[in-house]
Amino acid sequence: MFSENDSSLLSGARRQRLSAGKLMIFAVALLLFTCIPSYGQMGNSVIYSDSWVDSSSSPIYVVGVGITSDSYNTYGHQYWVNTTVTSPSGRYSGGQSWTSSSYARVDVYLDWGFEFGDFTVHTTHSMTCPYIYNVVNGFTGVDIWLTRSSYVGTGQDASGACLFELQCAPGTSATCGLAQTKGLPVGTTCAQTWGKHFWCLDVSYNGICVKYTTICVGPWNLPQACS
Amino acid sequence: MRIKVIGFFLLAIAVSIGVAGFRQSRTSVAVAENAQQAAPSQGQSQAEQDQPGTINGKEHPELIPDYVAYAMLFRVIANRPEESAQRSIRTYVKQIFQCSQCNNPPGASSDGDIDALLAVAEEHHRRISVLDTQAAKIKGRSWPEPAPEMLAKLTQLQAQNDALTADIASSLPAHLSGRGMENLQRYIVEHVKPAIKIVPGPQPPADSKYYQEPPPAGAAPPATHHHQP
Repeated sequence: MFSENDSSLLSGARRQRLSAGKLMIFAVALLLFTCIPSYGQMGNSVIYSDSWVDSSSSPIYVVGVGITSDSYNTYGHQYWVNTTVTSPSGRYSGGQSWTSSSYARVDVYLDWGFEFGDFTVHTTHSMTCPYIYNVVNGFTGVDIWLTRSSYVGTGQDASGACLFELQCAPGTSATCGLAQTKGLPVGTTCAQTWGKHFWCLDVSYNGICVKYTTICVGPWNLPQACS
Repeated sequence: MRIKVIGFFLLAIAVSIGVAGFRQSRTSVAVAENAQQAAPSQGQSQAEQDQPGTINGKEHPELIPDYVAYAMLFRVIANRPEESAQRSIRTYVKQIFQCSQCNNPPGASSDGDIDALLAVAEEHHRRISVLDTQAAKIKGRSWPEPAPEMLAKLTQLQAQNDALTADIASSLPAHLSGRGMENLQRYIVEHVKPAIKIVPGPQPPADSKYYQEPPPAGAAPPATHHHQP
């Protein structure tokens, strides 16, 4: 039915439809590319600081950590972090990380030193890149407020856990206080804690109390000062 | 038909340019808003203002994606091979679940949650390390002018990294108690996200194509040391 010429005309039309289709797909892809959010494609870096009271050792430490985490799709950047921990009296400890192309971290330990009040963790995140040399990328910080609460042993519950009640020395009050005042790791039996007083270290981060047992000290015969 | 397709193609380009322009203007607005927040926030000195375009989790925790917050948490608690560091990290994780040697009712957070979270973080570290290594190798190649395919590969790795973290974070409810998961989610929102800042990468000058030699002596990155007890 068709001559060779007709056939080639048909193939040409098909080719045209095919390239038109490809053009359409490309156009849609272009639209999607510009409309889809691309968090990971922007070369951001994430900087972070954190802190905790390390009661697993003696002496007890206030720990500060600074982290820089770069997205992979940057080129030639080098990062480092400086972290300092400062006590209420001004004692401090500081450290600097190794430089790294994508992830830098440094942990700093400061002896707690039985100080109460405001400890601060401060981190400075720096970088260098082919175009900008030695630039401070940003700062982060955590305020750690250390206070103490005093408890008296009052008995034992049905499960055998020792029970305690908050009881501060006259004229003092507790900033935090534990959420759960039973089973505190003091004494060997509950009977040994009845009528005895203990104080426990409270930790607040940026004003938010962490209501769990860090350390408890005792026993005393009288209520201890709270802060 | 062909005219229609070409018309659509041109329209798509126009819309794309428009969207890009809109994005740019939104960035400019964000920068302007940041500039208006000139007063440093609490504990931040005048000299420590954030770079324009920085997302500060303390002011806008809702702008910090969950996977970014979980990635930071996993980074903090994983890969602590020394025994003393493991004990220290355990005290950190205890504060997430707010439980230390306490007698919990059934279903409450317990040391089981602590172990489970640490195990998940280690798994994250193990799998992310593979991507970290690949990225580090690529970053060191074809320096200082990376080939477009290298940047495309890095972008792909970053997408894998983000997806992996999101995937592992979404597996947490299967590993933690109900109360433990609640405590963790609260901790992410109240503690982790406010401590995060997302900082935009530096923009090279339009005419700067080549690597600039760093300044000579005296301006090199400071010597490093790692302070530990």
